[in-house]
Amino acid sequence: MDDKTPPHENEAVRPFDADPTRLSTDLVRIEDVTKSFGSKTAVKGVSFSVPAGQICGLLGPNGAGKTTLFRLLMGILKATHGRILIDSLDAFDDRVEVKRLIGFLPDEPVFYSYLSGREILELSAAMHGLDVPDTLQRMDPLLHQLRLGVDIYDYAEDYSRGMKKKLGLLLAMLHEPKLLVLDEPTNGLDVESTHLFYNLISETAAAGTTVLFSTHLMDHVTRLCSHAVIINEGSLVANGSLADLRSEFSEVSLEEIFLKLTARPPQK
Amino acid sequence: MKKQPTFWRTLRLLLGAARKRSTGRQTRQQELLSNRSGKNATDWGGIGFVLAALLMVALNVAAAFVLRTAITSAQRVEAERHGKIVVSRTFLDSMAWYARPGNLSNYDPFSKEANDIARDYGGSKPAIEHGLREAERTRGSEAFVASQDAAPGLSALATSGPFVPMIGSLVLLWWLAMLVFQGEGLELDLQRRRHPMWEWLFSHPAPPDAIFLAEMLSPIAANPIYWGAPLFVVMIYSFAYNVALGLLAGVLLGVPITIAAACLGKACEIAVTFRFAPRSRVP
Repeated sequence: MDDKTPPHENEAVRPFDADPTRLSTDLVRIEDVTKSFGSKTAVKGVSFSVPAGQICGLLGPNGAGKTTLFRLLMGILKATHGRILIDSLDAFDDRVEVKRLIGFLPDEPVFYSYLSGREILELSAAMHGLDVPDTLQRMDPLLHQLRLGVDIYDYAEDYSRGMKKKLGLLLAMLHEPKLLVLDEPTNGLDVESTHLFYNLISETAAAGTTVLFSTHLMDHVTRLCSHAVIINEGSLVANGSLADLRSEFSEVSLEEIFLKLTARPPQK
Repeated sequence: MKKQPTFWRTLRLLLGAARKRSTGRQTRQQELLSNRSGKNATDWGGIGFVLAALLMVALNVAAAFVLRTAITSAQRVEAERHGKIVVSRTFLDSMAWYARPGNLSNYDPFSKEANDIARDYGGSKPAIEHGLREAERTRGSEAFVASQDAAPGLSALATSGPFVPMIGSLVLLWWLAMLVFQGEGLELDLQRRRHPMWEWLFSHPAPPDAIFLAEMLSPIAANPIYWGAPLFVVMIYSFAYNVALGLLAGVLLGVPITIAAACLGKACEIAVTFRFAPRSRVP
């Protein structure tokens, strides 16, 4: 794919609008967030926002703090300093309410081994306070779109990594959240599954859902995202629309920008 | 339509899921057994579950009898440590009868008692008989104590020497450790051992305290051995006092101890997950 072309080839995804007057429509606002574990600081004073209805890619090398940031977003961890607002609700203080708004796909989805995929969907729907039969009926087309129609009756113990990711995505979308948080959603997936995933993410974003996802695949960010955030060693190093990043760093491709910003000296 | 998942609804859902997982594990074991044997293993279904639950009840009742036997054995040992020989009440009565002037008979209580002791506790009958006669000759009836007086059982635990409560405590600890480390069942749920479920569970808009409590109580929902555990306490208090007090103790002590054991087991599982997980977890 030519990186000089506009980043939004997918017409379904609305382009990022950097206009400051749109600040009030930010669905996610991360304000000077720091998270320390003992003497180690995993996230250092990170601030950025994600406007509603956009697809935002969170990039960073291994150990940059992406997963910690997602756990903070989900209210699983409490920030040492700063705050995270999701639709004006505090991610930690209002964490029960916030979870109505967020669908989360963890890096390594883990399910109860001896529940079938369908039983896990039923449990999750009930825990969201949804009508279980109606929800399963609504999810049925998605289930088939992700080719889980038959395997959904098997125990999660028997699922491959890709199947677990697909089930995880279904669970994240079960309650029709305003925000989808996906931690390396295509990590370990085959080409076909990756394609299915990104099609689904594009369709979901086109329907108005905001998507924040982490990945190591630059071409996916270039193809899908309107907005990118790059963190390195816990600190934010770049944030903005893809076009803004290109012009700011005078680089043609996102990969070059990423390498420039996250370069580390070789270990002795 | 969305309904707020309440504390009790969340607890009920997650404990129900724990029960389903337990059934799932059993089904998978059944499949593995069938694959290994090359024929369909007998599926006992509901009857199998009831039998397993009854077996667990029997195990807890048996543990109560083990405790009682350990206490009485320790009391006998304690009496013997004080220089007494533990004998039957019949032996003591016979000795008293023979001691009266004019009472003569061919019946030899020493031989009969030595025979009984050798049968119940082992040892050489002639050596035991010699010891009994020697003790009677040198110290008279002062050398002996009736078994009922030496080992009155659990009701006299408070007045027994330090050795008896120590042995009783060891058996209690054995029972508690057995209960704590039962977890949700014998089959290891490897995924859960490697990654706790909290991240996924906490991604739901359910009360975190209900999720936490359900996780802690999941061994009780999944493993029937916990269901019979209060019976252990019922039996112990029934041995020491009476059945009514035993039942009361079962409710007031047995149920909380069972819950505490399940929680302690889960806490150990969490500690293992944190300390031994292959993923690096920063404290």
